[in-house]
Amino acid sequence: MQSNVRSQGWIGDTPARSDGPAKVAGTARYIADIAFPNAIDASVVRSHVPRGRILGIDFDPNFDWSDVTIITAKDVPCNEIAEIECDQPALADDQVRHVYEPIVLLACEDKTKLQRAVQRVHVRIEQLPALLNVDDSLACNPLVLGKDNVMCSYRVVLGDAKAEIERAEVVVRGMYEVGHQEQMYIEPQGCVAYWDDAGLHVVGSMQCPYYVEKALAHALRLERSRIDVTQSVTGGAFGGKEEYPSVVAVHVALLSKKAGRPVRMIYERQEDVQATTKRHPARVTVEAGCDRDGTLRGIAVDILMDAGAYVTMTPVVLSRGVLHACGAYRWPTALVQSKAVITNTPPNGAFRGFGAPQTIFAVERHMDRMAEAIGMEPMAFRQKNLLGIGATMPTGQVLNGSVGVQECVQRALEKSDYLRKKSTLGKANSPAGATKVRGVGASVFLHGAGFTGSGEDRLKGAVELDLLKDGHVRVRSSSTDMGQGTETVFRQIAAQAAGVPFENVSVATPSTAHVPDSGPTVASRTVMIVGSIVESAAKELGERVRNEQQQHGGSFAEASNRLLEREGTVVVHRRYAHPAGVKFDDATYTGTAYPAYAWACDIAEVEVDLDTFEIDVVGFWSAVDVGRAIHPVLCRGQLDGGALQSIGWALCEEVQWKDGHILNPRMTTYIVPTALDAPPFMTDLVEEPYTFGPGGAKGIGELPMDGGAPALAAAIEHATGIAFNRIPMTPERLFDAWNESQRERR
Amino acid sequence: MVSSLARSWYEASFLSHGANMNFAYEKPTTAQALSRLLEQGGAGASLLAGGTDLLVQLRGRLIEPKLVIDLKGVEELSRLDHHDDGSVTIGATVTANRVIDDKRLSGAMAALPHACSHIAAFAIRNRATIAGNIANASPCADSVPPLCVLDAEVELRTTTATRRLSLPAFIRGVRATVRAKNEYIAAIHVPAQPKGTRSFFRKHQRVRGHDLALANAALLHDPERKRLRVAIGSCSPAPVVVVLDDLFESLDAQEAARRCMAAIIPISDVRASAEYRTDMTGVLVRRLFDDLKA
Repeated sequence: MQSNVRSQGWIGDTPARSDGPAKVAGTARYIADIAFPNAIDASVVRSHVPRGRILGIDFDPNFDWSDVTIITAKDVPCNEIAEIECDQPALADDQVRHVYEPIVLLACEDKTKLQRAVQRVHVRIEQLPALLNVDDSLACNPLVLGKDNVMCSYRVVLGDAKAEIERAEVVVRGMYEVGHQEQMYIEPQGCVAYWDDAGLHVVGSMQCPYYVEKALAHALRLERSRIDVTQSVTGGAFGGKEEYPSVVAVHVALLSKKAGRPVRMIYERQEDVQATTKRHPARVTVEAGCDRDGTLRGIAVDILMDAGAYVTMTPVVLSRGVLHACGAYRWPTALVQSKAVITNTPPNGAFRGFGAPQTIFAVERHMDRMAEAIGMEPMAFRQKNLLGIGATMPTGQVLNGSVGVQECVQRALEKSDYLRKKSTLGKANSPAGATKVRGVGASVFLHGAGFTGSGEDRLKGAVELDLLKDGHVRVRSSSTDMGQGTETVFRQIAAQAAGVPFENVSVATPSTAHVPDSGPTVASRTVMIVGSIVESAAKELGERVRNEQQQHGGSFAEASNRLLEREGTVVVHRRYAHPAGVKFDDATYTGTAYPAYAWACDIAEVEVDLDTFEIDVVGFWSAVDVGRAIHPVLCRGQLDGGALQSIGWALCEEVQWKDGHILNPRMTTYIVPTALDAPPFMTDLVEEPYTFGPGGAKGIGELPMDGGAPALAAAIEHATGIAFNRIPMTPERLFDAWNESQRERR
Repeated sequence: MVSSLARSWYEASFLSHGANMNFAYEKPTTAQALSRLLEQGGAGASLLAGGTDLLVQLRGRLIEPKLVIDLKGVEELSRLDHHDDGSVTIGATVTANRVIDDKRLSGAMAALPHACSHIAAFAIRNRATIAGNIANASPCADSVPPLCVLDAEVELRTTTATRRLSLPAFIRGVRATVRAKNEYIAAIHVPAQPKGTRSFFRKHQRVRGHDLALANAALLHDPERKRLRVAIGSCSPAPVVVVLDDLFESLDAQEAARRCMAAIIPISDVRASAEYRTDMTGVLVRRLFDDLKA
């Protein structure tokens, strides 16, 4: 094992972030900063009821509409947003299915008039009974989809879990619930569209330019060759700019075509929080059996997710939730069942973690419950049952390398002094009348990197590397940098593999006219999957130049220039293919779900104020098996940032609803943690290299989102004796639970 | 009268945010000119000091003024004066950060700069004014409880008249004050406090970074006149002042908390329930007594 060892070359080094200086100096041009001459602004008229039939659209006859561009459903060549399914219309036509559903698009040069125009459009809607939550949906009250309102369903079976649980010495049942989460990227959604004789151009804040291109081609019935989608500097995404930019892009493209000039749509924060996708809420029921010595016998998990009104990414979110539902443990038998149901709320979609945080919260809380039932220390119980090399996962996948989970647990326990704190802190050890109590809690978890199942095989992501004059190298890929550091790490990977200095590598702006489709920038796949083909392409490029050097002499730069002179262009094209033996059967849900997993152990220490019930996270230890840290500073940045996002989800973030409307769609009402709320992060990198990742690296972008909530729940339980099976664990909820427990005691 | 640079800055910021631009902008340089403009503008005029509330209201189209009058051109409104008798005058355009940075606002008046340091974030406090915080009349305004316990008065002016009102008399309810359309806040007057007087402020919020108060409170302890009082914000439409002079000797925090909890009429909203607000008010009051005794 190589651990925190700085090797020769660029991988493992920490060059300054490529996008850093412009962002620090304020010169980075986000979509709202870019001047498009002659551009006009656009707005959306949305539904105001969660479900209904559109009877008519009235444009106030006393308003001057002469300089307002108007688009309704009938103006859309193919009224569908092409994602996994095409169920979501670009604009509602006969029916509305959530309160923020777009119905009419308006564009106008005078922005003040545009705002007035929105108010002068009156959509007459006959309100129909709506599904406001999963219980309405399950009860088919009303039935709106298929025969049971179920959008999708997956099942994993390993042995006869039910029978094995019945035979176990101890059986524990529990139900765990998590809510919506808003991505709250700093830069809201925004796109600009314009047309010229080449076709349609869309520039905007996005993760996946090729998803946008596909949606534009479908909705506007355009050939892909007539479309150029370019990512502008993107101020955060967290999954929120995976599928939603397709909607904004289609809207501006339609308006721009009709208006005959560039059209810009930048969401206000409130509109962004209301209308765009959020994390899927989930209710997870777990039944598991073990013997009194801590030997696991079987687990049965039932997952219910709220999809919202349209499919978006729901099938793959649910699938990832299913594949992570048994956690990081050796279960001899397992049965995971799941379904996502439709509701008349805005469609939920991609958000860092993508289904896994929901089910890992459940299984980790359940491991604590089982440990309690057999009187074992929760971490000892986990350690006894951890997955390792040679172990079989519920899909039948046998782990054959890069499993650093034991090491992660050991290091986190040591660095945090968990066991001593477990026996000296906590409610049981605090004096009567104490106003503050401390506790520690832990979680162990994994996150599969890359697309689920056969996704990568179907996708075959591509990159192209160009040799430039003087031996410089340019990486062309559709993998986007949205603040996580793609550009910097791709430069490192290419520099190391080609054998050139970091500063001689550049990364092309992701534009579908100029870069190949590397697949979307999602699923913790950028470094491990796309990075691996950047690495092999760069290696080949470097070898070609060195062959030229060997044959005809000169420096690397001189040999490059000779090659370019002779061949015109020197480009290496690479497509991704899974390593041999990585196969997944979508029909039976068996096989290798992910080519590699990142592993981690989180330990949280909290101090709870027994007057205000504020929860202060006084320390947060993570030991994470990242395979190999390409850039340790950026890697830790991802891990700490993801952990803070999980702390927010666990402690304060909550979307509040009434009749399908969001009650807190602003940053003053939907609270996210601030820098002052960030605990000291003690993050330890464990490096168990993955053979097929660049330099051994695995994907880690989403992993840190998975473990914070269960670790905090365990720490709060240790401190106060109150066991939360539901998040967020706000001071007010703790206050109520505490008062309840005091009443019970009396 | 209007600096073209100022005009273009405001136009640019309004344009980029899509607010209503159809209003005139004036920046008078004398109090008389200000009063006249306000008289002429009537109900269609809005006053601009720091703009941290006004811009939000313009953007949200909560107001659509015909005229925006910028107070920052009137020099006398920018004064923060300490008078010989110990009283303090805070002009209408004095920002929160100026109050925080004023080292003489300590001891008796310490609660005021402390409360100001809880208003929004540093950059906002560079523009946000104390007068604006009061004029906006949000129940959770952090500067209000300390000004209440300090018996501060709001000075309102028209072209012909001046009147002074205590804060509880000035603030009628949620975003409602008794300011007439032709009046503007010229200053806030904080009276001199007897020797040995101390004041304290506390706030309960959801995160450590800037957040609106779920409850906030200030306490004043005046040993010379044996006065003890607490003001509570964010738990009623208008600030609640609880006079606790009879507890001056005992400093019975439990009893003080009980009375304060009884005096408020909190609501449940997206930030907290009424029950939690009530309980937190009790905690804040007890902790203010701890501060006093420390």
